[in-house]
Amino acid sequence: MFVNVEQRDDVVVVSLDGSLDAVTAPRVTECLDEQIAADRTRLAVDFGNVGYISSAGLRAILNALKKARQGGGDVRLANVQPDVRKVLDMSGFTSILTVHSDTNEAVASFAE
Amino acid sequence: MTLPAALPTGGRQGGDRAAGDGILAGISPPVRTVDKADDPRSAPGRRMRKLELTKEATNVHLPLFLGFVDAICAQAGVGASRCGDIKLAVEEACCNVIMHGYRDASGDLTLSGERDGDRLVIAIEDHGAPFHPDEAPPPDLESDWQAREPGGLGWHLIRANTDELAYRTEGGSNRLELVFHIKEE
Repeated sequence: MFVNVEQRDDVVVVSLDGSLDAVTAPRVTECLDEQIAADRTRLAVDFGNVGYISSAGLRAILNALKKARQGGGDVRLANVQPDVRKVLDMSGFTSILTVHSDTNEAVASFAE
Repeated sequence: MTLPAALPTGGRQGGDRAAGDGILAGISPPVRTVDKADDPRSAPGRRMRKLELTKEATNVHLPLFLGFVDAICAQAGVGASRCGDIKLAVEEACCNVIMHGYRDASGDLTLSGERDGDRLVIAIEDHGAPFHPDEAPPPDLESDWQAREPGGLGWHLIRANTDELAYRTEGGSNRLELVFHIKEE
């Protein structure tokens, strides 16, 4: 799993590359927690290069979502691929978070 | 142990199978293969050898177990997207064994797979604390984000991606059998 962090205005774009499973989820959690701890709570997570997610990955996203919203921000997903979208849907995640078609749209949504 | 180049499998062949063999070749023993070619239950053209891998049940070995699922799918002629579903169910089952079955203790996990006609049967065997799938609490799929607790989705994802499921525990051994119905692609 490769994780790239980029600041765009007051939004942090976290781009993931690889499978989000029980092995890689702790690294993603660490990265997202680091941003939230630094009061960067507006997070757009780019899933364009993630083809697989398990419950460990869902747990990482939910943990970050709760912390970010409690800090006044949010975690918004972008570029979610069909196989990952299917898991988000069957886990009831698409009812509690927003999914954008691309990263630019996710970043812009924070200005609305 | 690597598999012979020309296995009698059905479905997709070629690139997928070669990739599967590559994964198997990278696994140091024990990967066991059992010849099922003479089994009369196996429909012609849909036979595969039973593949079996035993490793210590730790997160460190999880990529190996998931790579092994890739190899099983390749040998069984299962396409990439369906293989992703199968991997998800197997990952959740393996994580349950690692986190809850053995807890802080160490122990082995055996993963095996074989195709029987249109059914791909993957078994996860361990010697940890037993846990019957029927005892799993229902998942929370509807609460708002404040009330949603992380976790509790593993068995839901296993069931959602599996066509048949059987569990039995006997003499300190647990066996979870996941069956996936395979359509030719």
